[in-house]
Amino acid sequence: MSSKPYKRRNYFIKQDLQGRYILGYFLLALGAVIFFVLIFAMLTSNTMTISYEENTLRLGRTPLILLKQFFAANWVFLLLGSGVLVVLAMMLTHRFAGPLYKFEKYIEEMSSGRLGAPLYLRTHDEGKELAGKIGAMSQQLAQSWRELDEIARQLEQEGGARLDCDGCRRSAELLRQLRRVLDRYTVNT
Amino acid sequence: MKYLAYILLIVLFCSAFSAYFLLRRPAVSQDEVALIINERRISSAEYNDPSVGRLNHVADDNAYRETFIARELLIQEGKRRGIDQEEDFRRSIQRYYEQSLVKVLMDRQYATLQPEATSEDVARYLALRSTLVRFTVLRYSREEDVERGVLLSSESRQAVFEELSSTLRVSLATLSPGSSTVPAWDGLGYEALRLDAVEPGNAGDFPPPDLELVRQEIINTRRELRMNEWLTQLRRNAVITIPSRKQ
Repeated sequence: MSSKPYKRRNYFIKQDLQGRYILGYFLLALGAVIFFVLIFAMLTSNTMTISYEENTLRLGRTPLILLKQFFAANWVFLLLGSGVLVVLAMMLTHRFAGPLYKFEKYIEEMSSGRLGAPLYLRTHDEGKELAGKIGAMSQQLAQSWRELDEIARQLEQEGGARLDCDGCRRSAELLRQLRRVLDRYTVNT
Repeated sequence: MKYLAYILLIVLFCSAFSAYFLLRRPAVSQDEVALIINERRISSAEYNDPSVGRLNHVADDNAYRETFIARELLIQEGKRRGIDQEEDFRRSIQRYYEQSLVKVLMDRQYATLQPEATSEDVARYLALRSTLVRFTVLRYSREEDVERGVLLSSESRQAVFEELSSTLRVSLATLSPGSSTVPAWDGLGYEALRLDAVEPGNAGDFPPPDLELVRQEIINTRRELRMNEWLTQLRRNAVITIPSRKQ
């Protein structure tokens, strides 16, 4: 599975992690908007604004006169901006959530006995260094497996010629156990 | 997914709040509509608003209705032509705004001034009525000069008391020979009056005084003088910097 360089199409692959970050980005943007409104209100609190709306002349402090427009602008931002923000945040968080998911799956495969498979990440993914180190570790384990496999094969050939030897039965049993352990693993060639 | 649900909840809550705040003004119902002029629905409340000119509530006041329609049509035409976006229109509003502001302030300040005229004041005023007064107008250019007594100019005058302006009469009536009024700002500089001498006059006969009129004149003039003092005080409290090249 991980040996093929495939494209992840699910951008919301680690929902809990990405969800938390997306909510964080959303709240940050919302806070920034409120902060902007407060600063604007503070800077314009000493200015007067006159507006003529629906045949009514309104005169008052700028922040109060523009209160309705503030709400309208923030509402539009929430409706349109939040959708865009969620999609953008999902794509951004996917750059590290995707590799995390990939690492989990790769280590699961290693645990189930598959060694030496290549680990591919996408061009803009984060964690390429970690991916390289995990891949190298897997290759190293695969190499060690090959060496052990070769030693076991030689022992099997030599042991077969001397089955009548005293104590060789115990060695043959241990060799069979080693072979069983080695057979649990699959190594990419 | 629960975090996306939180975002959705926030958006929905804010939308509900904004919608309530922005759209809460109910549309004018058909029953409340008094007039519809070029798709603009005018409610009965707006139609009968006294500030627009409605002074009575006669149901079939055709004259008022025609006036209202003509006014609304003119407003709509003015807006259609974009006159309300023009610089001249903005200047007119600015002038009106500033004049209104100054007028309201002056009216309020004027209403707070309650000068009195005692019988002694009236008697003193009447005693000077047929006299010849000699007085000097003292002019100072700046407030610092007032404090240091540096005169810009002084002008001695003499005149029959009754022929002076009411401001001069009331000001001089409060002085004894040798004393001066407090310098007040007159728009060009600070000006004070010093009473130099009072001499018996040989002016003609004056009609018998109406004491109430005299008292009222003293009160009105004092009120004007107090207003000038207040303006002088405003100027004194202000920080005014005139660049040297423009002096």
